[in-house]
Amino acid sequence: MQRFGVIVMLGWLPYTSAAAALHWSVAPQICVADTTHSTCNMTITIEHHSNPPAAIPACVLINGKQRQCWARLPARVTLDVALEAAGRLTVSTPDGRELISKVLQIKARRDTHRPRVRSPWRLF
Amino acid sequence: MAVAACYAGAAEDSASYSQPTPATAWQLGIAAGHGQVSSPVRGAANRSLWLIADVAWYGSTFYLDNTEAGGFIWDSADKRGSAQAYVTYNREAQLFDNHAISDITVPFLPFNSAARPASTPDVQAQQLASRHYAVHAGARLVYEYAASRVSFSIERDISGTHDGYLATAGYQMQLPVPYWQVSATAMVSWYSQHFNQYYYGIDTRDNVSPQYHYRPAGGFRPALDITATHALSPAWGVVVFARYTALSDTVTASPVVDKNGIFSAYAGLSYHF
Repeated sequence: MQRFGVIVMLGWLPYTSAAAALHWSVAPQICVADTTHSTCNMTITIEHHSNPPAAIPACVLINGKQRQCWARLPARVTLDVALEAAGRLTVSTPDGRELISKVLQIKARRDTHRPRVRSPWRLF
Repeated sequence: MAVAACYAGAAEDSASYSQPTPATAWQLGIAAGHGQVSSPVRGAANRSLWLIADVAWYGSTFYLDNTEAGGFIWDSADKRGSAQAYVTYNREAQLFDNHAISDITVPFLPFNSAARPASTPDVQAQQLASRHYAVHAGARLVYEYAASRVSFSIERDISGTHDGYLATAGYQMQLPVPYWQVSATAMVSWYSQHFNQYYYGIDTRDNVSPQYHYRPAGGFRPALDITATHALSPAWGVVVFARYTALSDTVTASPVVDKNGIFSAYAGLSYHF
């Protein structure tokens, strides 16, 4: 715990001083499901493209739910996710600062919304 | 320690959330045009259609589709098949209505085709006791594959109107017509003796001489339906349909029936909300 706190302190320094553009990529951001009702599974890669990589404590959250944390965020992270609906991926520091925030979309190969059981315009 | 994060605030993606289409949805359409529903009952009026509506709501478990309300009780693993339990409003009684909304007819449609030659005594709808609308409860099995749909249903009167049964098998296919969505449906329904007796039987409840009393059996009614829609814009469109139901011999033999079938057709401009 104490060690984590030290890391947080060390990790804090560059936040305040860095003004460079963001160097994170998240891919893919669109999950392709078989049907509109099925859970969508994909492996997301979060990658840091600048050199040197960020050495900061951080957690990955999917729709606000914590998935994985690191004392030093690796330059490249792969994450298996199962999405029930579109949502948001965020990478946050322990103090709540968002390093990355990306929308995750779901596309379906086949629309399985319920078709009508009666023909339209059958009222008369 | 090389700690150099290129942090300049969160990398906010401005793209909006793209949820799949909600599983629950209203479909509300209204059409203005003209059409008619013929009545095979002697003395009853053909019914004119001017403004018609199409109302449906489907949820993941329950649905409302015009005069039917029900729930899904089974889904196949591939989601192509489903079974529903439902309650619906049966409108056979409207064929006995002699209050014409309009006397305007469409000459080229066979609404006023010559009545079947009367081999039976001439009994008019006005001589009959009121035939009431009924509420049916039923179950249906539907399977869809590509552009085709097969369905089987069985219903029973739960309103104490006729205490009969109605079973229907149908096959619907989408026809490949450019710029139009055209579906053709072939159906055959079996109407039980109780159903036919209530509507087409003639007995002591009616103001008819006993020598004209009639007791039909159960019987089949084959039917064809073609419905075509064409979208003029996301909201506006054209709807056209034509349906014909052939009555069973046991119904057409009733002294109060003077046509062999029920024909309906309509053409109008539709708007979907």
